[in-house]
Amino acid sequence: MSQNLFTLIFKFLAGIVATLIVFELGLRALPVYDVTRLSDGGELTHLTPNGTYTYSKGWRFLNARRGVINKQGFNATYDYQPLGHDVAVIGDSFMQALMLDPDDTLAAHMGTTERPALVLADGGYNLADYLVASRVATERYGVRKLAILMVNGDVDEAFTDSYRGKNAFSLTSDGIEQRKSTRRLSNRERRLQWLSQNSRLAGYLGQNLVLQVQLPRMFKEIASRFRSSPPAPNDEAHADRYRQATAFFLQRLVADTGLAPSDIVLLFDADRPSIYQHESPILDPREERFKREASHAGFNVVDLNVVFGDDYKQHARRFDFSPEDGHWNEYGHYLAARSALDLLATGTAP
Amino acid sequence: MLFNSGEFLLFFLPLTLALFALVRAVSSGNTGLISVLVLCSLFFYAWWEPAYLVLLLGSALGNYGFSRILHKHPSKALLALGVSANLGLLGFYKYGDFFIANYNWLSGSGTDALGLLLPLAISFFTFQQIAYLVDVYQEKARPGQLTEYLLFVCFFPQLIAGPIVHHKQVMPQFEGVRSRALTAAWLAPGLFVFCLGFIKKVFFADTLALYANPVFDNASLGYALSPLSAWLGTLTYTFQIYFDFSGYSDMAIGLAMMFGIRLPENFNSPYKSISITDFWRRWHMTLSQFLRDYLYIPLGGNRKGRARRYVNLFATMLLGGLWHGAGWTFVIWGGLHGLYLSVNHFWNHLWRAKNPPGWMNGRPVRLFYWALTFLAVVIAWVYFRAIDMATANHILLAMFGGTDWQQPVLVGSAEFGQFLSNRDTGVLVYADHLFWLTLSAVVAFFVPNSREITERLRNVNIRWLPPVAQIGALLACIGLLAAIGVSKNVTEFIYFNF
Repeated sequence: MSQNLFTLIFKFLAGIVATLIVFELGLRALPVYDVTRLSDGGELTHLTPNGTYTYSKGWRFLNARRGVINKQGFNATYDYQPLGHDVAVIGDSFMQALMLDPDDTLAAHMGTTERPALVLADGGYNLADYLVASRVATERYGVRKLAILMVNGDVDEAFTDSYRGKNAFSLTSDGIEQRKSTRRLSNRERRLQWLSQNSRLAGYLGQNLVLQVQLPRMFKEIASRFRSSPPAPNDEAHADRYRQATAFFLQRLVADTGLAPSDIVLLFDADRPSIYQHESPILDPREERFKREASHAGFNVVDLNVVFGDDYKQHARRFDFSPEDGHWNEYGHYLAARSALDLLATGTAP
Repeated sequence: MLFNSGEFLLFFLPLTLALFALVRAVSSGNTGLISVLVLCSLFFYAWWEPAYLVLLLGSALGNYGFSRILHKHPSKALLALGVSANLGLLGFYKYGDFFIANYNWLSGSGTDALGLLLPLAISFFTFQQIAYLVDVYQEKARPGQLTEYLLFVCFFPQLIAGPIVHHKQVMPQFEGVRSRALTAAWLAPGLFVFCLGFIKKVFFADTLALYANPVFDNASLGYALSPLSAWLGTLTYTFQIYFDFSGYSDMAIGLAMMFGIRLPENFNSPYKSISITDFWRRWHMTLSQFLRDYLYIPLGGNRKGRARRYVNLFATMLLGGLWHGAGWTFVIWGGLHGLYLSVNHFWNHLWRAKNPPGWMNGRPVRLFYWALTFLAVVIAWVYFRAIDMATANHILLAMFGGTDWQQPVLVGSAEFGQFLSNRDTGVLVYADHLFWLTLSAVVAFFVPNSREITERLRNVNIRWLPPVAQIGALLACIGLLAAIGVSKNVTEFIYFNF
């Protein structure tokens, strides 16, 4: 009887393992997301220098693309040279643009063949990273103009301890303080990272399907069906922290780079889902204040709610790959670049 | 709770299977097992909107009580009362606002809409129960145990969007649930059919929706469409609705098999049809059967002369259209199919009856009939999908050359128009859409359907893979599919709206 049961369990597990092996082999022939990020003690985290990457999104490998990383660890087809660039483009995965042809990015539109734009962008960069990147761009490469993209969550993410080597902000009794995150990955996180790098199936589940984010979200949603929602976070404290962080950012941006505010364009991403629904964008009052203060301080501010909103009314062309991939498409990059260039050239807000 | 959602695949289904197995281990007889399925089904329904559980239960208990009275005192008046009560409930929730809107339009008054949330599955469970009452009156059915009746109405695999089951198809099966459920002979094929349905829904239907929706959305907003854009959008929707609904039906059939119950087939490769009559024998087969048995035949069917037959066909399809939704677009869709069917029967009478049957079997003729049928179905889908008559007419006008070919082709996340001006990026979008459209067409036109695949596999000798290993392999597949389901925004099935 026990032997019979053992045989049954063995056969059952064999069926599972055989299927997983088939999946693993099948996925090795497909463009599973494979991007290795380094935190090597430098000022900014980046990808493996001179390495390659594979980008794809979601279960069906949307925007699948293979590319080469430059010597400095950024997504550019050229290595960066001191005094070789006029403009630096700074941002997170939107500006890194692994999902686009290099010629279709905002950076490509803002640079020239002789003097290409310097791209200091990586997935997960936050406001603190943007400050450091701006300093690196001016100090190390002598860049004279900056275009920085702000997307939803950039400010709040600066206060999270993501992983060791990332730039972050802390709120102290003296105000905002810039620091390096010291959090080391837990054993579980390290094991998952190793698995993700060595198994295509694990990479697919973790990177393409983003299960480590989606599963907890689903558990939370299910739990919320059975218990009342937890008390809301202290909105006032968050708003105050946000205000202090953005004020610190604007002040340090000028001080650290030595550039005039008029040489810097701050682009603010739009509420694209509302625009597609032909509805007014949902505005975050904290971000609106940030825009106003930046504008008041003399920075060039591009509100993409206006740029994208006007364009959509006219042409009904989308700016991203939503709903499967929220990143901008080539048209979004083109419009944003055009607005930024107009502003840098004329100083006229769109 | 949707079959393609993480909560269903990772929680509800495993827990229901585990509870079912537990009750089977500790009890004898069927009542406990049936009760578990009823309770789980009610929980499944309540997950969507707990308040409407009262409506479902009230409807089921009311009909059960009524069927017992009708059985003891059969009378036409009682039957009419029962059917009217069911139709009244359906009319109130589903058609109330439609009638008010039309009344306002006709009379120029401003009566407020009811603004009620349409109870999920109301069209399905109402029809099943009307059929039951009619059969009890005609002494084709005999009221049995309450739990069995509740399971017939609420069984979660088919509760929300069918297949519409006839009591004769499922209630006799309840007796053998204990011996069939969770056995390798039922579980393995059940998991397999479920996987096929999941692939149809998530891989095909949801992807096609990304390309079809912008065309219909932009048309509803009044944007100009080129003929190419309108055709591509409509063709894409044609395949989307097939994979969506047949995928749902396969998932329902697969789930029911896990519990030892065989649900009726709902689709049989409808886009391979060579006539509209053939199409309705292959598309939403359980609805067609219901409409035939409980509407067309009682109206007189083909027994009262040819002219009356066409009128009956037209009326049946018109009401069938209205069953799908409270809107004139659905009425037009049903009316078009009524017209198609009448023309089809008239043609058969006029031409085919007077020619040797062999003439019809030639490949070119069959190909012509197939193309004509598919074209007719595609045109009708425009009304089914469009949110209003103006949108439908706008798209049809574009499809038949009423707009400029030079208009940009608005499909998916970018424009086809870009293909001409920006080769590097446009080709990708163009190729992506065309790839899915072509793949869908190949699958729908040439690949065997789920039933055919399952039957073929049954005849293949796979003794080298023991049933328990098959179950392990299929569970691993479902695990991966569940991960895909969790990763994306879960999309509703189109027929959930009906």
